[in-house]
Amino acid sequence: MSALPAPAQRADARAVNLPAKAWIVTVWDDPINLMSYVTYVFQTHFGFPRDTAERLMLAVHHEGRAVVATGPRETMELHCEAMHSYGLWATLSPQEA
Amino acid sequence: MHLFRHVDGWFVAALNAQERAVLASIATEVQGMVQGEAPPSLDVLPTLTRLFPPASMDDGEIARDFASLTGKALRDTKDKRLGRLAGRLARGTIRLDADEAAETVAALNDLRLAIAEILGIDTAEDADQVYATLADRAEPAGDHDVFGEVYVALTVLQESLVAALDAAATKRTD
Repeated sequence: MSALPAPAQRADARAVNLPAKAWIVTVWDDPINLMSYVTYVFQTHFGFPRDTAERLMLAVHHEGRAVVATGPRETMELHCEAMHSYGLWATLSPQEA
Repeated sequence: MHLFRHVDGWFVAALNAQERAVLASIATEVQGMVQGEAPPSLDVLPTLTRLFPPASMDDGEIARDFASLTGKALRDTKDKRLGRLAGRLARGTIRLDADEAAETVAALNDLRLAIAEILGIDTAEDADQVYATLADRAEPAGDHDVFGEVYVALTVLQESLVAALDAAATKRTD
């Protein structure tokens, strides 16, 4: 699924013991997606309670973006794919140190 | 435009024949773009970029990896649900179970994204202008206004389906 090799295949065995770098999914504001729909997507896909979903939606709306998920790259790719399936504008990136 | 309601566990919208025909034809048109050959022609590329945005704006490798990993599955998902939406619109009154409603609300979003490209909606002000133009219009509609009308109708329809899905979810947790 991912371009990352499995830990056991890495040449540097020490890397196995280091926590994998976290990745984030960011959802960006756009003029098309409805506020109610974005809230619905956050509740439906991530299972967030309504107040959390609304807080994130408002962050997207007012600040232009919000980080909606953090974790291993493969998991973040799945979340980003889901956001794109719903029609939200989401991006993937390594978490800043 | 008749809105979605949540009735006896079903999500129902009594659209008239003309509304259904217009929406079905747009759904089929967008489905055709989604199914199109790769690489896409220049005229459909901006629409496809709205439907399948890059997963990174500043890292081409991340965007390419993501596109090769997810592109086919995303195209298949959007293709199939647009086709099912067109089919339901062709059959008559829209009556959906919860799963069908969930895919329909996303398919309606795809239609709005595609029409937003035709209308050139890139900012919140552009979107407001679509509504203002319709509200102020005294003259007969031109092509651009027709797409504006469809965009607003789809927006209202989608908003009503989100509200119906919310109502159903609230009922389940009561």
